[in-house]
Amino acid sequence: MSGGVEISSGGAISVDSGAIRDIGRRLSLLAGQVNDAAGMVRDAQQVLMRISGARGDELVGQLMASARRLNGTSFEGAWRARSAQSMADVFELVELRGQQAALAVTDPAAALRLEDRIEQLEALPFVRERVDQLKADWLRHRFDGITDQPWDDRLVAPLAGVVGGTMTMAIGEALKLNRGVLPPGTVLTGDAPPVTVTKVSTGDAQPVRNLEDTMKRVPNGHKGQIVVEKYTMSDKSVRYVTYIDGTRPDGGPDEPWDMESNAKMYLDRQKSASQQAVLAALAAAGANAGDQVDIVGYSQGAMIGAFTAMDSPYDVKTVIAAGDPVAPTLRSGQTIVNLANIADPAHALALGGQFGGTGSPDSFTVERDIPGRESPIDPHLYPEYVETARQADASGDVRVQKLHDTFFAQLGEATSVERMEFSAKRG
Amino acid sequence: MPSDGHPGRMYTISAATAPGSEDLWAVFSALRLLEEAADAVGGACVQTSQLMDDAHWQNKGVQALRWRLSELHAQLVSESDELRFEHDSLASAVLP
Repeated sequence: MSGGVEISSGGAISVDSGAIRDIGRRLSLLAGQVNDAAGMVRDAQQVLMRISGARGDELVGQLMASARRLNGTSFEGAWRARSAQSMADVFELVELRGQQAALAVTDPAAALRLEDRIEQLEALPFVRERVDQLKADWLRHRFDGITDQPWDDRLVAPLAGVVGGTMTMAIGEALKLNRGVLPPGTVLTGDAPPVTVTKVSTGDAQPVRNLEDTMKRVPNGHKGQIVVEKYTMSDKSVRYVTYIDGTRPDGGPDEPWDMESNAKMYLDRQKSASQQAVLAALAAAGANAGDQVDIVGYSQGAMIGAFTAMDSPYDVKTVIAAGDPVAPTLRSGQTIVNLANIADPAHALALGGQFGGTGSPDSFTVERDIPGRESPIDPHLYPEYVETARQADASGDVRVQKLHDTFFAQLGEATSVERMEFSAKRG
Repeated sequence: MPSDGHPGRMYTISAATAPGSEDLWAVFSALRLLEEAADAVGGACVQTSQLMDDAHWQNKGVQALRWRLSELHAQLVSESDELRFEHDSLASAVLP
């Protein structure tokens, strides 16, 4: 990728199958309409030819040419419509297989109900082969940029080789452990580590406006690791958005956002001090079981968001994750926006995520290649994710636009927003 | 291939003598058909424009489809213009 962002519907799915099938259906109707128009022009030409002396007329010839060109345009439109439908068949099969695997754990009867459609799609010419090809391509490219380090300077080239080799080993280990993708029904187990959460600031805020704004509200570099915004809507209902920072390696022994929390969640899938702190902060902000809580997280904060979206007392409808080391399996009513910089070593731990995507059809993944990388950690840096979010906002992609028109527009209708920042420590 | 525009081009459909009623009927029938065709193609232009908006996906895997929609739209705009021109030329050749 050379600059700019690449937006997919997650995993190997470029565009949600329903959206691309709709384009194909409309294109097919349009092709029929143009074909009808060609017929009318041909009829007009035939009518004019009945006029004495008009047979060799320039207009008659011109109409014949117009009809021919319209037929060609119609044919091309129909061809493109079939191509779009074929693409939709392939993406739908991938999506359904993923959904079936997820439902097999939580709702086997619903998983079985998908079988007829899966068999229908598999029986179509070339669909299985194309899915296999798609998977092979996805497996080949999911770690692009990670193992080939960018430095070409003579002094650092050997170091680049070492780092590249280390990355390769780390990914190899991650693949062996297979912890990056959270299967359906994943819950954090074990005892909740003790944490203390203190509100360090509070005040009014404007509703969050876009992806860049969400990333800027993550308390990176702040005293607190968690921000909770309480949105009061015009009907007096309340909803919350929480912003969770990433690992703080220099935080000292009381710091919950440390590597121990990373290891507990990623390797052991056990409750971590940081995730418990987020739940405590939400409760302190007034969130009750069943309340809508949407989550924005960076790095470890994104991992907390993933686990919390899969299992918490709250109604998590939207997750915005940047540099997430895990890929959750979400329900069809949950939307995940994944910001994933190419060659981000933390995101590589998610092993490419779910092949068939996850969550609602409105979910999407934004990838960006960081130009002029100087170290392997650059793609994971917080400012780089703010920039990725900014570029996604400016991309014009319809999926981003829909997020603006729904999620951000709804939050924009709040009559008041209270912002609370929380600092957590172990003990 | 869309044809180029023809500003000022004249057709010779009108006879040197006044056209008979059958010929006039044929011309009016052709005008009606051309108008319907132009409306249909104009409608298709609007639809392709909407399709281009709805298929604005920032993704290389579907970039080819977006380009083809854009080409299709350009072709239809050109054909729509051409049909309007042919309709108007025919109308001006026979109508006072």
